[in-house]
Amino acid sequence: MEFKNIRFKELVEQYKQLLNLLKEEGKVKRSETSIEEGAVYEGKLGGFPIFLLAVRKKGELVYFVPLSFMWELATRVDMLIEFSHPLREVWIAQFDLSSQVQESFFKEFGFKKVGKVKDEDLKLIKEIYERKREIPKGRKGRGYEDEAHQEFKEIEYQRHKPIYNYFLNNLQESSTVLIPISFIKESETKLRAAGAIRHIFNLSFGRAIYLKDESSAELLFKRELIGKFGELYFKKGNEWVLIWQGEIPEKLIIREITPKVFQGLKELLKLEIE
Amino acid sequence: MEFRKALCEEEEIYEIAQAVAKVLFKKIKFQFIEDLDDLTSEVAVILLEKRELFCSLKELRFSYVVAAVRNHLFDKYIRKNYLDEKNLDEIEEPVFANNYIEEIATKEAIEKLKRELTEKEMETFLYFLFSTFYKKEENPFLSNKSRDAKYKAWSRLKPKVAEILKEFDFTGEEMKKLGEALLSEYLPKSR
Repeated sequence: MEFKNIRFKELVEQYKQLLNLLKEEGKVKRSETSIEEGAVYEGKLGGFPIFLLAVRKKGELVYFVPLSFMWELATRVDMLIEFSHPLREVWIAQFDLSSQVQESFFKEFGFKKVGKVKDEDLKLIKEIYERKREIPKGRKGRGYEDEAHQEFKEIEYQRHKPIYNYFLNNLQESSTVLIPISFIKESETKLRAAGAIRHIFNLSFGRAIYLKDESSAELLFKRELIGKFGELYFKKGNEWVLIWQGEIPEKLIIREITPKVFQGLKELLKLEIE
Repeated sequence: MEFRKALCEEEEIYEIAQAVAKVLFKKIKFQFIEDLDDLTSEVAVILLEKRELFCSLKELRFSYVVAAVRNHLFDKYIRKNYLDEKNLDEIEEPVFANNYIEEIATKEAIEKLKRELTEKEMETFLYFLFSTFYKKEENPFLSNKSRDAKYKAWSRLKPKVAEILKEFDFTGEEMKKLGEALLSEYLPKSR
């Protein structure tokens, strides 16, 4: 029997169909889940199944990596892992969508433990999460910026967005907010090659500082803006994408940003105040 | 409840397999098996293998089983009909997946090169590949050009090829495989 050629684009279409098959409307029942490092929690958001691997737990916060069964679409930032589940045996850990969320999220949205990843994989995932090492060569996918993988990532980002919003909306008395995702890629910013690197510069609404060791940008807001309701937009291609909204804190950190994107932040960020 | 009963309590595997195969065929466009009867038989095998696992689920829906069967069938097919041909039968789970992704990426990269390079540019790229892999052999590409002209043609083309291949993140080893696959398509079969 002939083995047919498949393209990434066709796999994205199959994934959409599979998600539609798995979609199930209905009320979410609260669960009494307790968080365990290395465990995978399954729940539903917008009717679609969501799988979160708890990487670390620090106090109220759970650091997680979303999993997807669609390993065929793994990009260079996704790691292939073995995880036994009725839907599949091989999954991907999507590091670009990793973030943190309050433990209460898992309870409120009825997430339940459905298994565990191997101990050696958890160790590896922790090190990758903490940027101590890269995904091993034989365990990652290909591409990221191409059309098919971008569509896959956009689907995944939209599916997980309620978790990021939950995290931001439930931060208490914190003067620092993290923008917890890293979809900001050089290729999407239409930036020219970076010249000399400046690690600090002024923005119309404050100041930007580059934290080299953490590959993050710290945005310090002007005093008169703090406490007002604001929306921060990032220019992705020709579109302005909302990356954060809420009460303006003293500072806000954008994680996983390259020096080149940082240099362009003046043109790439826009703050709107209500 | 009816579906669970049919799958877990009664022997209606073939009827369920027919229904699953139809969805896989029409909606999911499962490519590996073109004949609906063949697909139904394969689905029945998966259902028998995974029945216990599916029936252990608290909630069991037909569409959930369709999605799961698609995934298990996909993996089974790649392992059996594809990777095994390459003696990769005893490979670890995530590694077989990685190899498959590399295969699709290589095929897509070759298609993209064919699409985006002109005939002349493709010949220049093949000239470069041949001279890299078979240094001592006579290069059949760009044979009517001087050495200097060949070098200049490749220097001009190099950034375009790099741009085309950028999104695939190939390692040196994978680039070698891509080059070999491309050359094997264009070199005379008698070689």
